[in-house]
Amino acid sequence: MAETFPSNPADATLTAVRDAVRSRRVSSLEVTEAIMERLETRGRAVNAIAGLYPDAGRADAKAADKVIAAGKTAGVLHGVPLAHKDMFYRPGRPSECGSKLRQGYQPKVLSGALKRLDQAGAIDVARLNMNEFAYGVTGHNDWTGNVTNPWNPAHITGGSSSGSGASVAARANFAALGSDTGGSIRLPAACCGVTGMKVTMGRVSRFGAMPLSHSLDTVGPLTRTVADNALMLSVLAGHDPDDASSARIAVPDYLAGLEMGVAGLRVGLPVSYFRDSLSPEVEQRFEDAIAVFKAAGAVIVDIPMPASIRFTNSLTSLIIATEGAALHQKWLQTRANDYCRQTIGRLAGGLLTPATRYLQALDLRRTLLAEFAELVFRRVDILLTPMLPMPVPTIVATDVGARPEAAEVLAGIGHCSRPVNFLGLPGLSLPAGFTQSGLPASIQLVGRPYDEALLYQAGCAYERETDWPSRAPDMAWMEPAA
Amino acid sequence: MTNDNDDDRALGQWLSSLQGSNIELSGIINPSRGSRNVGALLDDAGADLNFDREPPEFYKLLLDLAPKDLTRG
Repeated sequence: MAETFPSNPADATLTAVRDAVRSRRVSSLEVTEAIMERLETRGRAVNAIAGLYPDAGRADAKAADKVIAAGKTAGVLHGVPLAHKDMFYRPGRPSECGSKLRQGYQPKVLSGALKRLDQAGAIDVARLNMNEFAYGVTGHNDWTGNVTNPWNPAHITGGSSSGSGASVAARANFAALGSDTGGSIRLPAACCGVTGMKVTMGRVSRFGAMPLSHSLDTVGPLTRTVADNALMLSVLAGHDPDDASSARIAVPDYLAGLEMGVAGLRVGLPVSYFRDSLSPEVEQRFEDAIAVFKAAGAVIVDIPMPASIRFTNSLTSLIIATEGAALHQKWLQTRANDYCRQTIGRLAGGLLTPATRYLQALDLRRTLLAEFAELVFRRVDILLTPMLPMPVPTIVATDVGARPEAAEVLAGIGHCSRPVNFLGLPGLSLPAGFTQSGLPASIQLVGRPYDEALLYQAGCAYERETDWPSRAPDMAWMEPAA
Repeated sequence: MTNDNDDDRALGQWLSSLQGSNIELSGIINPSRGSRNVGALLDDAGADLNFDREPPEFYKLLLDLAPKDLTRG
């Protein structure tokens, strides 16, 4: 079905606006102006903006329009303005990582992810707020202020890529880079009602991206649609000589299978763990999603989870805290008071981990992945799970500093995301309707290592049947412009 | 036998003498979550004697499980 191009280019999908710029239906400058206006209004209303670069954006857009007018070959994202989490380094711009400790930090290298987007012709117009040092699942940040959910500002965005999720949902950004160490792309995607891909370990370069946990960090995109996400990963994926940990493995055509559907695809349903402690509303949305896959021809198979899966949430937290503490040790000794409350509490906890136990936790990854693969991928092609096991909570209910009991809520938020990080697998978060509070519900597709293409194929089929990405927050709660 | 005060003293000593940090214990979030300590978590999860595995084997397994058309010969 052909997509009608909206009167405001900012309301278009990434794919549609890319095509429109390329065909000169709309200029890159017009698109950039539209996005800058949205970032100034909606982006600031949800506190997503860490830095805005209108002059550079306009100059780049004019240059992009000249290239197209000259009939020259353009990159796949030529002339499209984007904004990204404030942890991807670019010389000439600060990268403050949501922290007082990085205030004014001027990076010396260009991140591998931004380099690829630059080469594809994308325009980088803003830096987006985030959890301090990408460490947190809610979006709380005492230093920059909390990013708020465009659907309802009393609720969390999810973290740590809070500004990425909020800006894309608010139709102020076509796509954003995020990072996912324990759920930091998928949880903001889930809370804000957008699409987020946590890639297989090594699929996307981490060079020049602020590290939190070298064993678990991944870089990936948040977008409005599955096709947009596949387009972004087409640009981002591949080996980077600057990142020795990036995989030397072929990159498939992520767009090729988007229309192939799920008929005959074996979709596993976990009979335990991922469906433990679901709220009734989320359980119902999950049942709805199962019905959609079934109606589209997928073969639904109940899959028992390995008993070891129940350890993976805690083991992931342990590895992040320990590796994070090692990275931050000097500042923990000398500038502990400059951290946000939640960050210092988690990082300092990592100082308590015995080295022997940390190494055992890392060693378990191989054993647990083998168990998981044997039980799951021998029988099915992908696994379908809930993403956020509860309705999107409020900012107040998840403020650990003010409410110690909120720690239990926080542990629950990462229940379905962290096992995927521990196992190093790809996971795609998709919007799956709404709960009674009017905030998004979500599902997750988990695949074999490096099989992001199949997740996009299945996600696209689900999206086609449901059309959740066409719903946008009206943001009527915003104060009228002066 | 230890009590909470002994544990606090031990943790405080660990942080100050081994980690060089002077951070209030009350603000620290246990990374293994809940009341389970790190040792019990790892023991329950099956951390075992592994003398016959190379450290990078996790990454090798990721590649082994990848779609065959993506892996190079």
